[in-house]
This record gives sequence, structure tokens and C-alpha cells, in this order.
Amino acid sequence: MLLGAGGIVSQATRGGGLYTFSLPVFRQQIVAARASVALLELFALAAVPAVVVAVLSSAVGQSYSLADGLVHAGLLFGGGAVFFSFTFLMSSIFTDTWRPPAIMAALFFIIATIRMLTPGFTRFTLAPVITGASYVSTGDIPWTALSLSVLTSTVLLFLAARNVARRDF
Amino acid sequence: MTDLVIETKDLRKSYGAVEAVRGLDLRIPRGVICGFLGRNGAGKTTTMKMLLGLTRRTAGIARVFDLDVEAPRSGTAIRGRTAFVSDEKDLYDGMTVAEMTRFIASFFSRWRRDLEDLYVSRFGLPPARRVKTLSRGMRTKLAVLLALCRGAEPLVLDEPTGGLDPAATEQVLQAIVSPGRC
Repeated sequence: MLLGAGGIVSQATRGGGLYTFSLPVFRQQIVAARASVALLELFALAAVPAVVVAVLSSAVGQSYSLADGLVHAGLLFGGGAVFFSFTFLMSSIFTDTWRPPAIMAALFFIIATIRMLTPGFTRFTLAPVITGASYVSTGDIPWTALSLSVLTSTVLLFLAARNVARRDF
Repeated sequence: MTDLVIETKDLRKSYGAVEAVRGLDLRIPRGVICGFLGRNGAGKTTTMKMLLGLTRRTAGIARVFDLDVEAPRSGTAIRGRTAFVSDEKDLYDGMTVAEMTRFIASFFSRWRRDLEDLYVSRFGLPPARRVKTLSRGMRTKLAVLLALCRGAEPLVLDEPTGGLDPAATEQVLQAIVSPGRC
């Protein structure tokens, strides 16, 4: 969520961003570069703990395969990318840095409340993807939900790029 | 093919009910210096931004190198041949002077390394210092250096001597009118 905040739009109003836009590059390229770096960071955040747990598990007499760790990291990345992309989209709309994460936090709160009040609602959220619940219980990777997450992220990032391309700086 | 570098006809820009630029007709040929004079909010910066494709016009025509500034791919072609110094002198605070020049040079095939070396020395720019630690005057000098070394044809400069002392102002203006001889 924080990785998606503070994008090029807010930077353009505070300094640095306008200089970037005055370079001979397409705005879509700038957005793509920033999104790619942030997604790599997101993947690192998901993968490093999983790999560390897999490597250190034997030290405490447990076993946790690297393959399992990478599957969980992939699920966390795939599901988490939706939250990142939505915040990224918000950052292409608002010029300040606080509103995109604030909107996301409010969204989290609303979803958590609905989940509490309506137990069946959980399966319509990203929680099963991110926690890897089906992988833990049955060994099945939730390909459909994962694909929908990736598709949603792609659409959100595309909308963010279109917003930036149309904007006045 | 025209010899005009910049041409506008009835160029307009509105922000809601506020008309920032109203019917600007401009014809700037190659090799001349053209200055915009006007009060704050008169639309000087907005005009420059429209010419560089940073801000969209509301109406009218704006062409640079005979290219429509808003046509697909024109913006990058124009910015590749134009140098711009914004009034904010907004640069990359986290980079050092040397990193900043190296990064910007990578975008311009006609980058003048000879001018870069000359201005780094003449302007007294410390290559290892981070941009955020530079004084306003030094930032201005760096911004001007980055503009002059691009090998650009038009230099679009928004208050290029802002924050400079009289001696530095003279030095920068000399560099602008006679690159390589400041």
C-alpha cells in the first residue's frame, strides 16, 4: 500500500516530477518504470521472508520447503499487487501523499467490517489468495483467483498510466 | 518547412473559469531571444509548459519545429531538441551533481561533454555534493548547465537567474547567449 503512495503526480507538485516530464520520454514509460520498480520491491518483500523461513526452518527442527515458500510468496505478491495497484491509481489522481493510503486504509476497514459481519464474504475478498488457504489445505494453487488479481492489477495500472498521460503539469 | 522554431495561433488555456492564456499569437524564428514579460499569473509559465507538452491547451494552435505539441510522439521529439529550466529549478534531490549530469546526459545523443566540464568548473559546482544540499543559486546554475549541455536548439528558460547574485547572474546570462564563453 505504501509502495503505491507518493507517485509521480505528487512529486510533480513538490519538485522533481516536472523535470522528469520535461525529458524526452513518454509519460507511459515513466509510469511503467515506477510501477515496475515498486512491483519488484513488492516481490522482494514477499519473497525474502518466505526464503528466510525455508532456509532457517531446519535450524529449529522443522521442515518448510523452498518451493512452498516461493508459492506463498507468489500468492502474497499476486494478491498484494491489487492493493499496490489501487493505491498507485489513487496516486495518479491526488496530488498529495496522504490521501491514497488513507483511502486504502478506509477500504481495508470497510472490508474487514463486512467480513466480520458476513462470514461468507471472505471468499469474495483477496484474503484466500494472500494467505494461500487452499494451498495449505489441499495443495491447490488458486489459479482463477490469482489470475483475476493479476488482471485487476493490470487494469488499475493501465488506468493510472492513462490518468498521468492526460494530466496537466 | 518553415524557419519558425515556435509558432502559436490563438493559443488558449483555461483552468475552470480562469483564463490563464488568452489568444496568444507567437512567431519565434531560429536564432532570436524572445522574452515573456508579465505579472504573476499572466500565463508565462503555462505557455512554456504548453509548448513542451506538459500542459494541454484549451484551444488554438501550438507548434514547435513545425510539430503540433500535442500530436502523438511530437512531445518527446520536441523535448529531445529543447532545453527547459523551470522556475522551481526542481531537480533530483537524492542525486549528486555528477550523478544528475550523467543521468540527464543519457537522454540526449547530442550532449556536449565539453560544455559540461567547462560549466562544472566555471560555475563552481561540486560534483560529489547532493543536489538537496546545494544553495538556490547553485541549483539554478546546475539547472542551466543541464539545459545548455543538451545540444538543444531552443532554450526555454523560466526565471533562469532566480536566486543568483549579480555576478552569477551575469555569468549565467553570458553562458546562455554565448555557450562555451562564459
